[in-house]
Amino acid sequence: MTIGIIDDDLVYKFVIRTLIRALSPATLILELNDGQEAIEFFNQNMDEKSLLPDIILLDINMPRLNGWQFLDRLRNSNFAFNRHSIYMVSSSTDEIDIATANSYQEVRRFISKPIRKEVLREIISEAMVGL
Amino acid sequence: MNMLDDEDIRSQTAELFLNLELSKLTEFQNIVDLASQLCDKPVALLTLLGKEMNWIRAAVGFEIKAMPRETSFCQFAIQKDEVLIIGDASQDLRFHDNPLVDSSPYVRFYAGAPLILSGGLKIGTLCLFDLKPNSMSKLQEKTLASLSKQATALLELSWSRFLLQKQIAETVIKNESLKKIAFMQSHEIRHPLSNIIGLVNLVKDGFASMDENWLVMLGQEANNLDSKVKEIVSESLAVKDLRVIRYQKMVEEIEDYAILILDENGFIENWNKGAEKLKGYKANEIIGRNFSIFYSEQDQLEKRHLNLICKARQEGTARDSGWRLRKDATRFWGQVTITAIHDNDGTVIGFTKVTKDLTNTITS
Repeated sequence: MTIGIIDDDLVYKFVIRTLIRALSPATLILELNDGQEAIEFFNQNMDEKSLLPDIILLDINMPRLNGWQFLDRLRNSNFAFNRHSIYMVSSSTDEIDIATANSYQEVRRFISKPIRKEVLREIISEAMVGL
Repeated sequence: MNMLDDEDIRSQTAELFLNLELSKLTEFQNIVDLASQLCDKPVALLTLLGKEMNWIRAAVGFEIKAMPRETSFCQFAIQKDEVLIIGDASQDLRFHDNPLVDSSPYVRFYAGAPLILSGGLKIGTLCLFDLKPNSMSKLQEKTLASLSKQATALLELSWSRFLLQKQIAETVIKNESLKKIAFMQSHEIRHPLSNIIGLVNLVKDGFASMDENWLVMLGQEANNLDSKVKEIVSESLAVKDLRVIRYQKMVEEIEDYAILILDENGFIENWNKGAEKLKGYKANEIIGRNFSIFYSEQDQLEKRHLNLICKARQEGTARDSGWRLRKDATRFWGQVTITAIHDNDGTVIGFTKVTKDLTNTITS
């Protein structure tokens, strides 16, 4: 199983990566720097389900293409990607961000940073079960 | 653009009160009802006299909401402080050729008490009409005058409430944008903070150790957090307000120059120590009054003060030297500079007036 992490924050990625390796050593991790890099990767591997992540932890505030813009592009595409497996992640507590996240069908849940290990465990088991 | 004369100020002030929806307030209806009953006349009106129109804001026995000023009776009632009584308009030269008298409704009797604001401006009337020649007893005349004072007090109260509601609405909007800013700032603080928590939890749960790499990251995020907080504090309102307060205090303390702020009509809003020293009035005696008070009667007749603010409005600044009056009626020779203040749209919202006492420098 592959977890995709789309975020520009290096320290956050270190923490998440370390957690995932500790909780589920067999899980593969795909790190992408921002929405733009993510779309390009998806474009290059459009039909290769094995290379695309099973679930995505998506940040909101990123340079070039932010979380919302990525979701919009995803919607209008034919990527072989399970549409309902995105977790929106942010340190923002703004109600508007939370409501916007929930309005996207593709977003399974909104999660606040810092991601606690219990929450990550839940996410991983949901992914294993095949959502 | 013509200069502002006293009638312009009066009619503009009267028209401001049109913003109040008096029909929603039963107190005004009660007053006209009472006036009609106690004075025993079929029609009683509360009017606001504007530049071109006479606006009827509460009425008994009359349906029309506005009439032209030139055929109104109220235009005469606002010329004096006392109640104006016209027993039979058909016999009064002022109403020769007035359609209200010569044709329907064939008005004959009028009694009008001016509505006088605390600043002295007469903005309208509480008046009575009858279709037959009539009279009023002294008691009824006093009653009408008294009711007009009630109406004026109510108008001024309603105006204060109106201004307050406007300010509250503005404050609510400001609070909304402050909330938005608070959210944005909290997000910026939580960003490095959540990383610090994440790093600490990794060690707590035994998933990472406090090696050099970990310490570097922790230090970096801690510094980020520190900068964010410093940034937010320096941008915060508290610091801005302090600067504004310091500036105001500075102006207030200056003693060699009288520095005042006037509103667009020349009414005094601010008063510094120099002004008190030069002109003799204390702040609480002078704020709210018009700056024409410093000019001699002759100057006021010639509208010297109005010409100055008019020039400042048109050209940005107006300068003048001349005799001015103190509170104790003695004169001083002042060098005056009046500068127009604008809001972000370029509309004139007031004037600053700086006066230096040059009495000692001129030869008498």
